[in-house]
Amino acid sequence: MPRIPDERPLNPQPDIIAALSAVLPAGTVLSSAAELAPYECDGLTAFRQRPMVVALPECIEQVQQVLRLCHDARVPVVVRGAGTGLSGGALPLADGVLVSLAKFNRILAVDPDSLSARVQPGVRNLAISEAAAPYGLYYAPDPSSQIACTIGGNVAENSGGVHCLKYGLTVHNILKLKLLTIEGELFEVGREALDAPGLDLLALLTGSEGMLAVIVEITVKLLPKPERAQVLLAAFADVETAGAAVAGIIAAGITPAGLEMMDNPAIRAAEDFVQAGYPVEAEAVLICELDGFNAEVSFEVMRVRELLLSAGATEVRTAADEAERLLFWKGRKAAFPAVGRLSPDYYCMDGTIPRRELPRVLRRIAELAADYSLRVANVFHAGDGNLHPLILYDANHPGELERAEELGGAILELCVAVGGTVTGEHGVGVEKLNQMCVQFNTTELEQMHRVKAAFDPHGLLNPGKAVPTLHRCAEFGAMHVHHGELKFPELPRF
Amino acid sequence: MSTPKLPERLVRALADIVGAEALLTDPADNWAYGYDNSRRQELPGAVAFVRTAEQVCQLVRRCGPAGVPVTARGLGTGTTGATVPEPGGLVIAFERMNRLLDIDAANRLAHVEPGLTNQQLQQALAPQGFFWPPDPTSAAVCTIGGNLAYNSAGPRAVKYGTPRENTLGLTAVTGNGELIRTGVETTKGVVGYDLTRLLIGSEGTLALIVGATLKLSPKPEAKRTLAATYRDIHAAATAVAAIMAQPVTPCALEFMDAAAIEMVREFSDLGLAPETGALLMIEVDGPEACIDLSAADVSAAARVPGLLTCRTAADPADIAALWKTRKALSPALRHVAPKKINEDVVVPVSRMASFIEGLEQLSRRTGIRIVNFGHAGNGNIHVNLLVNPDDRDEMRRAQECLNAVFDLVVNLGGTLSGEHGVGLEKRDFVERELDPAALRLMHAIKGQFDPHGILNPGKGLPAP
Ligand SMILES: Cc1cc2nc3c(=O)[nH]c(=O)nc-3n(C[C@H](O)[C@H](O)[C@H](O)COP(=O)(O)OP(=O)(O)OC[C@H]3O[C@@H](n4cnc5c(N)ncnc54)[C@H](O)[C@@H]3O)c2cc1C
Ligand SMILES: Cc1cc2nc3c(=O)[nH]c(=O)nc-3n(C[C@H](O)[C@H](O)[C@H](O)COP(=O)(O)OP(=O)(O)OC[C@H]3O[C@@H](n4cnc5c(N)ncnc54)[C@H](O)[C@@H]3O)c2cc1C
Repeated sequence: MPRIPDERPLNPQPDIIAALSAVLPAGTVLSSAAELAPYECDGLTAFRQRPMVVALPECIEQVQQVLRLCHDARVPVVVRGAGTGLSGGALPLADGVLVSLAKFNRILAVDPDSLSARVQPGVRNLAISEAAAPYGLYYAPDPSSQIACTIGGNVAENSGGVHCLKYGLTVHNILKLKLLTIEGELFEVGREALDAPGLDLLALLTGSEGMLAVIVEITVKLLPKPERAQVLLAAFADVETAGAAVAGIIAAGITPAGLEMMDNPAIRAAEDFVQAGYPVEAEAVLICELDGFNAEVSFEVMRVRELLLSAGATEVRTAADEAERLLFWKGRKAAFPAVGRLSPDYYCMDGTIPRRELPRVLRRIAELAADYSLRVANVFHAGDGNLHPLILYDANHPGELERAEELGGAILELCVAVGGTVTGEHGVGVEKLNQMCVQFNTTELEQMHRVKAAFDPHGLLNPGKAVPTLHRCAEFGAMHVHHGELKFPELPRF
Repeated sequence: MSTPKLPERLVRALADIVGAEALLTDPADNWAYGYDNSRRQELPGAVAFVRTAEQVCQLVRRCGPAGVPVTARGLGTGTTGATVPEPGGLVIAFERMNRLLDIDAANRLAHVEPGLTNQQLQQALAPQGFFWPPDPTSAAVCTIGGNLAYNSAGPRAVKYGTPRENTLGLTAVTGNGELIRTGVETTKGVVGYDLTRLLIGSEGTLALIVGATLKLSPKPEAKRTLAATYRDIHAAATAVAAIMAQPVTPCALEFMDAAAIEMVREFSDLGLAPETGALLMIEVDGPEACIDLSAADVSAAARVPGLLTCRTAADPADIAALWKTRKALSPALRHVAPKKINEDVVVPVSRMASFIEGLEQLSRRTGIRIVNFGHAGNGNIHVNLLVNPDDRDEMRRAQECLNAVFDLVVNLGGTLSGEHGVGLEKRDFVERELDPAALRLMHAIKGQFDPHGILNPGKGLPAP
């Protein structure tokens, strides 16, 4: 059942297929049903739609031609990286052209002197760190999807990862972008040096979900690899105490490289799945990674240990060696598929709250779950207050899907009510349009539409995503994982 | 030059909004609000001292349809003319809207009004163990609103970033007089477009900032200071690259070139060896328990061929001694050339040596003495042309020289403004650096925030 958020009346113009074929190399314009099928959804599989046509340009000039054709014919365009997005940002339009940047996969330069690399948008996130490794450098943002997702998608979603607590989101780790406007005009924003004059278009374009311009080249910042990383694993007898410990570590002035939390259902599921050595009786565990140079790490490990114990941890373990450090992470990274084994279906939420609200919100989520007679497992980026509640349900039980969606909505609204936001890192896409209405008022949403109009007056770039129209008030969408239908099963989850 | 006068009715309306005691209309009073540190000055038609966001909305709503230009003002310490009002326009002065609303340690954030000074904020944060990283030298006399509007920073930016990296959200009034909130209260959040960063650095041309949620950083326990001297700028630049490529990021990495050292030497004997061609001042911060090791790592990285001396200090007297040369620079400059032209530019760190060399050539060619210092860690260099404004021939050569300096910066992939903004001073040079399409988009965005074109018109961007 396709669930299309786009409110425009359809206006199919199949002539564009021939026009595209005339300017693009043979085999790079796809329009048969079989060819289109792989593009019908991104990681948010509850929404599916085949595009009218897929174009796979190979160079900037070709993208320009595609955009000019679409602009002149007023055909909408959706850009796609690897399609791992979890909010439906790359969901095609029935009357639109899907432009896949899969062929833009070259690393153009690694410059160890200025600590930067210039790459094409279709390069995979992890490939950048691999190319930088010989120089002792790496690219910091590390979404769990990093072996598959593209840097272009990362920029468009302003993606984070386990380490963004210390190293920031994508926007903090890029220097320059080359883009095309919908008219096909090439422009550059940002500078290799800090702070270009004029408005900060680099930041505006980062996280704009492909709605303002098409990214065709990215200059990223590289960082020297930390000398050492060490992990602590702390067990707690209740979730609220663990939540308070998180706030305690941050307030004590420590910035861990990662600070993750799992509750009992998640701990048990992960332990069953990968035998990470987690304490299965604990109601919650915190996984805290500290990195930096040797002495600093030793010192911080001691401090965090003391803080965890005084906050009420029942047990604190330090990874004895690199193998155990990786094992502690393995459990965390496997938590999503592990939870998936507990229940036929689950629904992954993504909201962010002020850290001090963690204990209260976790308690309230448990209460809400009880009200809806559903189980919820929590595995999340606690240091950032970025929650990923997983609502377990069985779509074969009548009414459970609807209850899961309602519970999801209630949780996101709870996030906003305590001063948080409806997305931490997965973007708005089509999934959270309704919650955007909760978070922003009419004036604020209108201002965002005006910004879009400054770039794309005819509304041709990824229309219907990220910023809800003012009259829109449809039901909630969601990321659903149906029986075995998990997209990217090989990737660690979040 | 005759200044347009504001209509009587409008003035009465403005007085109704802020109260008569908070509105200046007498030119004698207004003059004091018509300048900034760029030596430019214009006479505003009125100055309103606001205290609430609602007052700002109402003022802007009044001015929009009347086409009266509005310029926000913190404390007027800006150096590029962005604070200078349009003749006869309205100045909205934020100096009385200066409360620190709250400090939230667990979430590492503070809510502030725009008129709070940077220093007042730091003083309130210190007892709780926090600081807000942006540290312009003018901290005591500049406001958070001005810092945000100019994206102002100081030495700490190399480690902690500029206001853009240290602000979570804003409340602002658009050119329509509408109040909008941008950003989030959390450190993460990707909802809609990033209007927070868009407004930061926009020099009061998109919206007036009436509140900010600032991201706080924990105060480091300890600090060490290092001073390293080099034979020439090449050696120093190599050291900067080496320091930035190892894991301990310094919280300050300042440099002085040979011309700057030479100038200081003319005034006092600092005991620097005559062959000293460049000086780096480096600070590292972190936990007490490992600060000496951090300092040792940085010092090891600083030891590149061409190093003459490298000393590390921990106690205040020794630190002060190390800073002596750097601190002597400003007074020396003031003495030699009180009316020097000071330009704030940035080049990629890896091209700093080429830049300084280019400046040396320019100096020889134009006969203008050029002295350089600045924040080496991020390539932010203060280029000082020592000129006497009364010497017309020298000023002509200085203009030519400045023009060439900007070309050099752009050719090296640098940027024309590091931390002092564009304002009026650099507006006409911006085109050299920005793509025409990017510039067009900036104007289009400006039009969407400020349809009447009343917010600080003419600042920051060259005319379309
Ligand atoms: C298993 C799994 C784990 C994940 N873990 C994380 C995580 O830890 N943190 C996190 O933040 N996210 C995570 N994600 C979400 C997702 O991987 C990120 O959002 C990623 O950045 C998307 O990249 P992509 O190349 O797949 O983009 P796509 O899904 O193809 O596209 C995403 C959006 O970007 C736009 N876009 C793509 N390329 C361009 C371009 N060149 N120019 C303009 N717009 C463009 C698209 O139109 C769309 O709106 C995870 C996803 C999965 C499936
Ligand atoms: C001695 C001295 C040293 C300095 N050192 C540094 C330094 O180290 N680093 C550095 O970056 N700068 C430095 N500066 C420049 C200046 O202090 C900074 O740019 C500072 O941020 C300006 O703050 P202000 O309150 O004086 O702003 P103003 O000069 O009053 O205003 C600056 C700009 O901000 C706008 N503005 C002010 N308030 C608001 C608001 N609430 N909403 C929207 N727009 C607003 C104004 O319209 C104007 O465009 C220095 C200046 C001096 C005089």
